[in-house]
Amino acid sequence: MSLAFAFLVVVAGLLPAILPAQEAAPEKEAVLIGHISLSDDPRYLQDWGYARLVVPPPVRSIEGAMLALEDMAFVSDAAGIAPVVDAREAANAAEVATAVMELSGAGAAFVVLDLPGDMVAAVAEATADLPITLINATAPEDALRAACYPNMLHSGPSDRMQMDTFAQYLRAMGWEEVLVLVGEDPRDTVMAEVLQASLDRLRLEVVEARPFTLATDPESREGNNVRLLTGGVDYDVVFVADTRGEFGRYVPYATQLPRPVMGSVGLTVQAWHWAMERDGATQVSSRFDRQHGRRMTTQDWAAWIAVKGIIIAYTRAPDRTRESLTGFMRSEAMRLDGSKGVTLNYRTWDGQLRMPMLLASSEAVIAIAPVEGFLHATNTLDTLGVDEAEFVCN
Amino acid sequence: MQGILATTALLMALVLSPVLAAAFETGQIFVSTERGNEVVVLSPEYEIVARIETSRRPRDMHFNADHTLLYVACGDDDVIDIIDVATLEVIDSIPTGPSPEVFVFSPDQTQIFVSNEEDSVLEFIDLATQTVTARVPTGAEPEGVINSLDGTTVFVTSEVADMVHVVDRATARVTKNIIVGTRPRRFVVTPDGAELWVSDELSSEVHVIDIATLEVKEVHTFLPPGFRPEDVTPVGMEVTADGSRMLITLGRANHLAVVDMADRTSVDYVLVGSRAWAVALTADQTTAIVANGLSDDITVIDMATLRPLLSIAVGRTPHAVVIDD
Repeated sequence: MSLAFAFLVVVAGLLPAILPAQEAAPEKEAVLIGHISLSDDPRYLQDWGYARLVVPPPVRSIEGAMLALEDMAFVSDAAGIAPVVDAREAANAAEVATAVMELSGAGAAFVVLDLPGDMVAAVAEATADLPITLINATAPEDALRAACYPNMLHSGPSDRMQMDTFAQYLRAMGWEEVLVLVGEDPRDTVMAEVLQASLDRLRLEVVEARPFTLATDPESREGNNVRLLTGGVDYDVVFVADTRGEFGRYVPYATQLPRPVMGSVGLTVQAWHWAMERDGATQVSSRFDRQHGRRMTTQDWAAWIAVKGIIIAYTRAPDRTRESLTGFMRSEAMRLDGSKGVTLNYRTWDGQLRMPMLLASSEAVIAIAPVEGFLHATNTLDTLGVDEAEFVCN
Repeated sequence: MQGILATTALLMALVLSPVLAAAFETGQIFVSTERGNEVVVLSPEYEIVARIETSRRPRDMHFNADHTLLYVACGDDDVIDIIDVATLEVIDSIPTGPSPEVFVFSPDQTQIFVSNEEDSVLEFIDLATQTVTARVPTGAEPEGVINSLDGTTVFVTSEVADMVHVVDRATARVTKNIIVGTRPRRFVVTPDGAELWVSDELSSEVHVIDIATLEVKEVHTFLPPGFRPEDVTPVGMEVTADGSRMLITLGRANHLAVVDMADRTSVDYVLVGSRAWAVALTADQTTAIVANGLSDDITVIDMATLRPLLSIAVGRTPHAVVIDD
């Protein structure tokens, strides 16, 4: 295969420090990559609630995209391309669609989206006719995968991949009975529903799903008192579906039975975690930390791997037409190194990036899925998420 | 090469001092443990005889020509420690850039070339003055470093850029980048000096580069029985002194591949420990030793029968193995 890319080798590294003196720098091909995020994204707000609550870590996934540019500088140079990320902030779905159109007009073949699920769906429909591929980095909704937008890939994990990760771990640990606590946010309901599907697949049981509320009035005590919420029934673990985490943070160490807590709090599922220390992950995390002064999150990683994949496509696809680039991106020839120990690529049926997932506490990576022992006919990574045989486009 | 070095060392040892002679050819096995912060010393009978405390995160190791000193790159303290092989103590440290991982001596033993994993640089260090004489920028996460046999060229991999940088030793400049597989890790140069072998951890390949033309001439893949290609993550390599067999550790596939260099399609597989990385051969070529990073042990392999003989727990995350023979 390397012989096929021999043309790449002809151009030596072009950074000034290593440029052989006798060689003039050839003109490099500009490659425009878009990145669109939402100003005041409700998922990332730091100041909601009255308490001193910093539940989601600060996310500016553009910083993951920028790290990918830097990491791939040598590759880009060798391939004679000069990638640039044009980062836009939009206030609403209409502005997002406009931004995608502008980026497409300026020649971008790929735009990375860091947007809530409903806006991802809206922009996919509004820009379906444009010659541009959208990479959804941070919206986990399975409905976006099942929509089969022809112009969309997903570099962040789906809800189902996350819940399958929990299910594999529960099965491996022999923790078969799950008490589910569900919040009032619509995303909490989705999380609980997807969890049910994942547990069903591995024949694990939800002993009861109980709604909780943030209201503190005595009439609501069945829904706001953690001991009442977790009493009167036996279970192996408590699963908390609480996207915002305002309630969930009070559940660990407060359950009626002494049981582990997982889901939105306690043991969580991540695509990336700062404490991951195998497979070169430490080096990626420390480069990110050095550059941006904070720990790299799942969202940063998803933007990083999206941009990395785009640059790999530009350097390894047969040519640089959009058809070739997206064809390469969706093919088995794509071998993406996400510093998670295996090569990653996008699933042909739903455009989802296959990847190992991490089960992590706040301090450590406790397990990595696919959990040892879970096998698959073609690729063990496909034990996480909706598999080809069960996938249906809506 | 080893023969020449050994002969030189032997002559020096005989001429110079009884101390050197005593240190020479102890047959001892040295294993660096990345998280144990020590170099573990085993007797030729595989008994642990010493644990040498080093700077933090000891990784790649090399002897000087006469095997009186052992140099150890220590990634978390940014130094190369120097161990006196006679006393088994750290006697000196050479400062390096951030996170030294893999290094080699120049064939004339005047320079060290070391990859700095954290700041993406290949450093040239003058051994006499222990000072950095050149810093060559590389792609992110540089790792494997090796000389061409004539000593004019240094090769270094970038794990992130998927390439081998060809560095001219005289000018300390990259003269060519060779695209290889995904996450290239380590090198071996064949004893005839003609081929550079590169292990590609994530694309489960080994690229063979023709050193004369600097073009990729072969790509090899490996598949022990019962494994899938994605399980195979080649890292460590060693070639027999006569060039007849290449040993390649397959990482997560927990096997050592032994390639018949005449036929090249004929491969034997030897079961070893968890995440096998480093591999070393005894000078008499009868025994191979593999370091298993996730099972914290080394596996001893009989090269005649290609059977694992025993495994010995050594300490946390064994990285490199060298043998004083």
